[in-house]
Amino acid sequence: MARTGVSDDEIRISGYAVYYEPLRPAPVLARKARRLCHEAGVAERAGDPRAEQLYREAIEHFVDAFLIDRPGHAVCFTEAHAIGRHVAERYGCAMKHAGDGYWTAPCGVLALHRRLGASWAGPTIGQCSVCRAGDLECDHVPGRWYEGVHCHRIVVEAELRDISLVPFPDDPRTYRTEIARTPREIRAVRGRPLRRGEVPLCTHCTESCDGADRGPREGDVDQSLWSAPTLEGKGRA
Amino acid sequence: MHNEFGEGWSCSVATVAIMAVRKTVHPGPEHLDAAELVRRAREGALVLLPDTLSSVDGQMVAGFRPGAQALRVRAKQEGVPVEVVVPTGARPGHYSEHAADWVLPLILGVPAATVGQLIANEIQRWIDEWREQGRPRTPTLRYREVIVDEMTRKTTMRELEGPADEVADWIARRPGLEPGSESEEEWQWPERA
Repeated sequence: MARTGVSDDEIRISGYAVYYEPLRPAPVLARKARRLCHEAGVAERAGDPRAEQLYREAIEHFVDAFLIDRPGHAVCFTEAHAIGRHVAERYGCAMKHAGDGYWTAPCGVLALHRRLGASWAGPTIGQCSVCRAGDLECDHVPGRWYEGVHCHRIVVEAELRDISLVPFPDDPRTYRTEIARTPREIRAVRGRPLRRGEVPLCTHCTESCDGADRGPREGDVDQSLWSAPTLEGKGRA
Repeated sequence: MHNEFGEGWSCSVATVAIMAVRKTVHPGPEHLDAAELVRRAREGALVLLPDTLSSVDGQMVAGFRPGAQALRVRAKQEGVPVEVVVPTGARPGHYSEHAADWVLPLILGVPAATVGQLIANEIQRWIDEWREQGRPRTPTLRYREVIVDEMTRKTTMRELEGPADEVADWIARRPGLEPGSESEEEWQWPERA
């Protein structure tokens, strides 16, 4: 978590610097997302309470597919927002209390609008996913397929040195940075502080973003349009 | 529960950066043994060097850049001799830090024509993959080579960073340049537009 500024108006950022799961190709993730979405629909019609979780997993898979291949999977941006809208209307998207009056929305949809991701530095020890050999000890190349098996590097030990917020991180899933709503923003939107026990809801997909209807903007897809990032860029996506 | 908060933080979009090729010279990495480098340099192979030598969970790890495996396998497939320098007592691993879009593995010496072409081809393959993913931005690349003076055993690291296609073109053309045309001064240029 990063903190800047002064109390009650400081910017708090948290998120993922690294993922345990290997980065899978975008088409694989998109297919999985559509399957989850179908299963969620079936569960919802049957009154199965697991429907909500299945929808939320579908959103995360659509988000990953878009972040990995923006131009090739632009439709995933739209689908993530469409499911997000359905989930928000049907179940509600409760924000998460981050302490001291701060609230975050731990949902991948917001990563679709982020311009900064996390990039971490340090040495790691890894294994080949195909043959389990150590680093530089076999002839399989991460990212390639071998008789239907996708090769990737499995990190077995790591030593973290630092984390940077950068526009083009190695792992695009790290665009999932959570920027907490400050106590001042909470008060400004509501006109008063939250009452004891009140939980604000995220309404990104239902009110503040029309991504489900219009799809991604040019700047969401074309990263060459991105300017030098600043944390002050709080403009609406 | 209330229903008022949207989300949507982002930065404004507008500019496209114009990249320049930058050449710099640094002291050689301290974890590399100069005597061994002198010996390896005479063999004429593609020699991959670790960026770091550090402890991970009690084990000494020689940290190579992630592209080392692809470059090593490509060299083997094309019949180019390739060696990986792992200091005694260490095991090979990876080292990552955020820099250019791609940082080539550290290599020993000035590549001969065959090795230079191999590296240029590997860069081109990576650029092709980048474009197949529909990324319109030109990727940046950092190339580094370690030079060792046989007499003084002093090592220096030359670094070149810029648009990947320009760097690949330079690496491929370089063996054909007139000997001696590449001076230390050229590497010390702070910037070339």
